[in-house]
Amino acid sequence: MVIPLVGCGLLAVLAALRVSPGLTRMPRWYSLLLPLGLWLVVINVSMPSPQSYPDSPAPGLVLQAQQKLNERDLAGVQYVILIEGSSLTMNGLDGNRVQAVLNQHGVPSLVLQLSCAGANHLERYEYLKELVAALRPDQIEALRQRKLVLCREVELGYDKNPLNNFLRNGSTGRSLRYLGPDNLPIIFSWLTLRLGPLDWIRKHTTLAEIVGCELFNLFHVGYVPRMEELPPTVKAEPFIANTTQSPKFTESGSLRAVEDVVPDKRQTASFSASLRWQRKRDRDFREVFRGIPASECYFAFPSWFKSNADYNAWRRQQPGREFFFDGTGTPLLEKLDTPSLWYDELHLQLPGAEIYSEEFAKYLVEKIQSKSL
Amino acid sequence: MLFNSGSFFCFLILVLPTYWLLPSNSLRKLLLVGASLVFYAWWDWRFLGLLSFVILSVFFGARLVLWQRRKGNRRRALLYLWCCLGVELAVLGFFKYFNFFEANLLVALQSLGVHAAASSLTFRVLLPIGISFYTFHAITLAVDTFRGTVDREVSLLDVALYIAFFPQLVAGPIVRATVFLPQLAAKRTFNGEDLFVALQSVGLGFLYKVVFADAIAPFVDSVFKAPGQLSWVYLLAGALGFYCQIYFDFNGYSLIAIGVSRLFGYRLPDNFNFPYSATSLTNFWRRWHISLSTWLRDYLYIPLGGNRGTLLKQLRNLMCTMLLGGLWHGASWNFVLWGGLHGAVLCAEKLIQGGRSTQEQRDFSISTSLVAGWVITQIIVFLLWIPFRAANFQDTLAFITGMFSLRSGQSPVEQQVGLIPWLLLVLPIVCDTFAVRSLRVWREKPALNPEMAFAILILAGLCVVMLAKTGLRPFIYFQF
Repeated sequence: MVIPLVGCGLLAVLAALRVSPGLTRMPRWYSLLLPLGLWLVVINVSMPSPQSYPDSPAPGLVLQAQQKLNERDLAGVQYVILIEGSSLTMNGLDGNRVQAVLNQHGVPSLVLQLSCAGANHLERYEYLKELVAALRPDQIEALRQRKLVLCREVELGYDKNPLNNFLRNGSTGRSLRYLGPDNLPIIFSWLTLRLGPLDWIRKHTTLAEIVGCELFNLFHVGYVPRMEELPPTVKAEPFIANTTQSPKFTESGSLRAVEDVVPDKRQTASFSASLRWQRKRDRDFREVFRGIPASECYFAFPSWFKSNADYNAWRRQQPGREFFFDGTGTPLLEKLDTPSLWYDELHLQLPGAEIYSEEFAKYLVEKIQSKSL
Repeated sequence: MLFNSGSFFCFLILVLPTYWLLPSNSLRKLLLVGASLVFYAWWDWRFLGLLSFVILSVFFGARLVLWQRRKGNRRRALLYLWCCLGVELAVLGFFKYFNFFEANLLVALQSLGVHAAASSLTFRVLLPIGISFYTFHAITLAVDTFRGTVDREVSLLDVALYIAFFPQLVAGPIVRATVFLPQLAAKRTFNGEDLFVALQSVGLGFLYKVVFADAIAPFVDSVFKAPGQLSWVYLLAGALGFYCQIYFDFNGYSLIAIGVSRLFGYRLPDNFNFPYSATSLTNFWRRWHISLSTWLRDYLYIPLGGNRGTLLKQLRNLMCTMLLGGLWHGASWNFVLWGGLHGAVLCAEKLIQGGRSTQEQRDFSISTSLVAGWVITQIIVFLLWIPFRAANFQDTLAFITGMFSLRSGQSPVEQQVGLIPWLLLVLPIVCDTFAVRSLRVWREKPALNPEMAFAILILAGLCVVMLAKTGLRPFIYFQF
C-alpha cells in the first residue's frame, strides 16, 4: 500500500510546486544540499540498509544456520564446521551428512552450511559476514572455546571472477545486498588485474552496473521494504539435491582420465594471474570472525571439464593449501566415475552428493584425528 | 543507456557541467553530438554507422531540396525530396519491417507449396533502437525544407544534433525541425526557472516510470504471458494494469526527456496532456503521444488530402493514417489491428459529428453527456490496449474471450501470478488524471519562495528514489 499512497502524495507535491515565472537567479546552495544531507541522515539512521534487499538468499541462509546453532547445545560440540559454496556445494555437499559421519567417528561436531546456486565469492563473503554479525555474545564466547573450521569451495569459474553471475542477477536486491563498500576493494583489484584499456570500454555495461550498485549502497538508498513491514524471513536450504540429469550433459569418456591430465605452463600461468585478487579476500575471511580462531580447509569437486580438473590439480599444489580435499588419495574419483551420478559436468545428483559428502567427512575425520586440523 | 540506470546518471554528471563550461555554442553542440553518439553506442555501437548514414543522407538531401527550391525549380526539388524520403523509408522499412514482411511472405509461399524458395529467404535483421524516431526526424527536416518552413542551409553539426540529440533520440518526443533548429542558432542560457522546471519534469518522470509503471509491470507481464489460463478477474486487472502502465511508462520517459533537454537549455514539446481525461477518441489523440499524432496529421493525413474532398475520402485518409500509425509502432499484425480499430472509431466519430464547425468539433464528445463520453472513450481505449500488448492474434482473442465470458482460471497459475492490489491500479491513475490535472492547469497557484520550492522538490525527488523498485526495466516505447 506504500506505493499508491505515498506515490500519490509525492505526485501531488511535485505537481503543485511552482516558482515565479521568469525566475532568473539560481537557488542558493543550501536549498539543494540541505535536503540531501537531511535525507541521507534520516534514511541511514532510521532504516538500515541490509534490510532493504530481502529478495537476496542471504537472510534465509543465515536464518537456517542460526536456527541450527540455537538448537544445538554447544557444550557437547568440539568442532564447528562452516561450509561455504556455490551451486556445486548446494547440490553436491550435504552438511547434515558430513555432521553425521563426523559424529559417528567420534568427532562431536556441528556443521553449518551457507551455499546457494549462483553465489559468487563476494556474495558468499556477505553470507558469512551476516552470520557472524548475527551471533549473540554468548555464542561468540562459546565458539571461542571450540575449534572452528571454515571449509571454502574452490571452483575455476568463481575463483577467476569474483563477480561471476553478477550480470545474470543485474542490479537486483540479490546483487545490491553484497555490492557494498566492503567488497569494493576486491572488485577494484580484480578489475585492474583483468581489464586492459580496451576492456574498460568493452565491459562498460558491467562496469556501469557495478558503479550504480556501489553508489546505491554507498548512499544507503534502498527501496520500498525500508518503509514497509518486511515479510518474515523464510529459511533457505543450503543443500538441495539434484534428482535428474541435465539433457545437455555429455560425458566424455572417463572422469579419471579427465582428472589425470596435467595442466600445461600457459594454463598454470593464467590460473596464477587470475587469482591475485584472492589474497585480500583470504585475509578478509580470516578477519571476519570477530576474534574467533578459525582454521581453513578448501574443497573442490571433481569435474568432467578438463579446465576445471586442471585447475583443481593446480590449486592443490599451491602453498598455504595444506587442507585441500578434491578426492586425491581417496576412492572418490573411482566412485564418482559413473555419469548417472552427475547432473551435468560440474554438479552432482543426490547419490553422487552422498558419496562426496561421505568422503569429505572422512577426510576431515582423518585430519582431525591426526591433530593437524 | 536507460534514463533510470546508474550509467545514465554518471553520463549526465560528466556531460552536463562540461557542456555549460564550454565557451562557445559550436563547441557545446559538438559536445552534445559526441555525447549523443556515445549514448546511442551504449546499446550497440554497430548501429552508429546507420545513425550517421541517416544524418548524412538527410543533410545532403535537404541541401539539394533547398538548392532547387531557391532556384525556383519546384519539380526538381520534389524529385530530390522523394529520393531523400525513399532513402529514409528504405532504412526504416528494411530494419524495422524486413522480418515482418519476410515472415508473412514465407507463410504466403508455404501456403502455395513453395518451401525451397521460402527457406532460402530466412535471415534475421536486428532492430536498431530508436530507428522509428530518428527517421521521422530526418523526414521532418527534408519535408520542412521543401515546404519552406526551414529556409536556411542547416549545418551538418545542427542536422546531427537535431537527429541524434540524446534525450529524444530513442523514444521522442518527435520534435519539429522548425521548433528545434532555431534553438540551435544562439548559445543557450539557463536560469532558476529552467532548473526548477527541468528537475520537476525529471522528478515526475521518474515517479511515473520507476514507481508506478514498474510496480505494475511484473503483474502485467505475467497476465499477458498466460491469458488462456487465467480467470476474468486476473485478465481485467491485467488489462487495467497495462492501461495504466503504458501511460506512466511512456509519459515518464517523455517527462524525463523534456527535463533533461531543459537542463541543457533546450525545450522539447509536451507529449501528453492527461489523455485519460479525454471525452472522445478524437480528443484522446490530441492528448496522447501528441508529438506523433500531430506529426501524422501534418506529414501524412493532410498530404493525403486531410479534411478536403468528400466524406468518403476523408474517412479513407483517416483510416490510412491510423493503419500506418499502428504499423509504425511495430512490425506486427496486432499493431495494424490496434491502429485500424482506432481509425474505425475515429471514422465513426467523424460520421456522427457530420458537418459541425471546427469549434464544435473541438468540443465534441461521442455522447452529449461529458461523463458518458468519457466512460465510453476510456472503455474503448482500455480494450484497444489489449491487442497492443498481446503477443499475437491468438493471445488477443484468448484475452478478450476470457474476460467477457467471465471464465474461471487455473488456480496453480493464478497462485503463481498473484493478484495485484486494486488500489495500486486505480489510485495513481485517478489521482493523476483528475487531481494532478487540476493542479497543473491551476495557473494561479501560489509561487513559493525559490529556496523553499527547490528544497521540497529535492526532498520529493529523493523520496521517489526510495520508492523505486530495484532492477532496471526498459521503457516500453524503446522497442518502437
